[in-house]
Amino acid sequence: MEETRNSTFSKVVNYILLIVLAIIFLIPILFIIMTALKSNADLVKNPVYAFPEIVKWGNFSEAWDKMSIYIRNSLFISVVKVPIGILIEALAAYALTRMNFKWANALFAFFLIGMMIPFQATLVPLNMMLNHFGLENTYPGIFMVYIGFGVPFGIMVLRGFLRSIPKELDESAFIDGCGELGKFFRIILPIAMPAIATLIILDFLSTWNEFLLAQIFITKNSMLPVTAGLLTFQGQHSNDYTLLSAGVLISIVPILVVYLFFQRYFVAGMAGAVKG
Amino acid sequence: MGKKRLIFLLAITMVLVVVLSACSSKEGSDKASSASDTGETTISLWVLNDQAAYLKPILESFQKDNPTIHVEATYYGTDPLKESLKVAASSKTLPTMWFTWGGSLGAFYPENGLTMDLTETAASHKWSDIYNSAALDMVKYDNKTSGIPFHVASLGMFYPKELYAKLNLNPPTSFAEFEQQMGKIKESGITPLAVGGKGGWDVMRLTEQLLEHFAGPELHDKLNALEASWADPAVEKSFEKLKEWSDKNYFEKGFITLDPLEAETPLYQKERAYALTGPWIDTNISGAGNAPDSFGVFKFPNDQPKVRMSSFTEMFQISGSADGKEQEAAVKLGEYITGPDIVNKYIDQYGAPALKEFTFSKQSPHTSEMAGMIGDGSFLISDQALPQAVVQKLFEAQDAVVLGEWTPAQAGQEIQKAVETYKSGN
Repeated sequence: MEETRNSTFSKVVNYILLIVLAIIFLIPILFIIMTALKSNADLVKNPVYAFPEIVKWGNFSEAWDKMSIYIRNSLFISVVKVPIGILIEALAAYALTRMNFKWANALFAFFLIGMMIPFQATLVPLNMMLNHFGLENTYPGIFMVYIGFGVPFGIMVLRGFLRSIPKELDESAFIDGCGELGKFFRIILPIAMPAIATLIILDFLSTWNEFLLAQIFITKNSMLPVTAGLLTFQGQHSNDYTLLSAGVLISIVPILVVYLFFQRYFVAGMAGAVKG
Repeated sequence: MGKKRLIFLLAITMVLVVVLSACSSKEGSDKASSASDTGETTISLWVLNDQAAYLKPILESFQKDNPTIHVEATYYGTDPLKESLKVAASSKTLPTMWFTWGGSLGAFYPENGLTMDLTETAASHKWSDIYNSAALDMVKYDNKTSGIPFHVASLGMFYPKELYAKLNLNPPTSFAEFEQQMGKIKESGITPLAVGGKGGWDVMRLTEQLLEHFAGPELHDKLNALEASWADPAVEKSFEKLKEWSDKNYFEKGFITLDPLEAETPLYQKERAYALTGPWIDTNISGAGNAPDSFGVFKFPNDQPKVRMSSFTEMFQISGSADGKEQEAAVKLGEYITGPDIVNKYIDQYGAPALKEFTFSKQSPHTSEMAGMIGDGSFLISDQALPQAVVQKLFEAQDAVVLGEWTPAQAGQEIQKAVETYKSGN
């Protein structure tokens, strides 16, 4: 009886804490929503947490008119870059964990160095290389840079997950006539789906939110991503906070869709990153 | 079933990538060859986002008038433009022409031999008849013209007339009167100064006027030219005053981390009394639903016989490594954008042009008023007058003094150390 009462009490405390945390996280989003629905005069005149005097849905269509091209570009970049990056990372993780070669751990450490170099330090040499090979202002150029920076983290997550898959599966597959590629595509990759789904969410998020590299390596307005599009609402002497907020809300929709679609795998996949 | 679907998806993705990448590369090479075949000149131009409203139609009309010149414009935020230019300069990939600020911000490019020397162009195209002399002076480095003057702006103290009338105040004529007014405004429950400390440049506008007040124009100019020591008592007094105003809560609580544009917003609703800013504020006042002429402007009362305003210039620089044809086209474009016909046509959005004569905008009444106020002279704004390494130390000193981490005397000494380090490295 006492145990049940304690358990109920701890549940209530947990829920209260979670509700308070949820409110803390939701308040800024609520401010953005209310700002997105106000006119500029309304925003300046009234407190930031006040409800709009007149709801201005037109802010969303105005923001969309300016941002649609950038959203399209970001969707293209993310939809192409994320699967290619994950395929490369999965192949590398497969080789590191299941192909038993001498320098596997050293090679893994070499990949991890990529996570330790601040990318700001690479801007000038990368810009020179892309320019030299005629890859500036091209999507293949930006894909190579993005994939290069994403590979170390992806390998780290997938290597952890793949190591937890029993080796006996490989042996059975080998007996059944599978080669290395067959084992990878037919056995390992489907089992690693939780880790891959996790990487899809994280990689999509980081690609979607990336700004600095795109701003440096893409100088054609028609090719810039959504993060650069949001900057069109910010100027040297003034910011259009209402359209900026509407733009921010529009820009998070694809991330939400990807997260909702893959979130059931998310926690299971993250566990792979910390397994031996 | 699941694994088959996965393999199918991966295969489709790979095919898509190959096809789209090939399209993308082909488009680029086609464009380059057509340009060389037809004798067209393509120039790349990097400018700011908030200039797009008037630059887009200007560029369209320029290309219509000059069908053999194709302009590829890229619009950046303020900091991304600075960042992209620095990376491009280091990797020798600068555009044909770019927007930049004057003084030490723009000096980086001619100092490193990256800009076209426009001295002969300025003489042969008689720029002295077109642009005002202050603007022409501010785009020179080592007596060479390194940019096409675009904007020249000065900073004044803007105040809401309604609030002033309510408190029975008139624009102050002395520093002491200005301080008395701030005290009275604070007593009435209103924070006097709209200042945001994020980035350092908004607080710097006050610091430099305090320097003008305590050091006088001669010493102030020498400090900016690194010919006098920043450990001077006048510098200490300036920082003491800044700290005093902060301690008296003449700035908003927590202002040191506030974005300057956000800090200015309450001014539009008469919830602040002053902002030390430029005539572009008229656009923001209109955007907030008020009439620009409901605000007044006066020169910061620094008690000098000739009250100088802080000024700065903006310009277009042209790449020194672009070929002759591109440079010629870029000069043509720069002169077109900054010329009287275009300026007068777009004056409502253009800002304060660098021209000798232009039609003033009714939507920005303070542009003409401030142009008349600058007669007593001006000094170059500190973040363009000082080397950038010293500017960063000045910003650090302001924050440290306000937060009580450094004494005012220490602030001067630290800036002087940065000056000496800079000098020893050059």
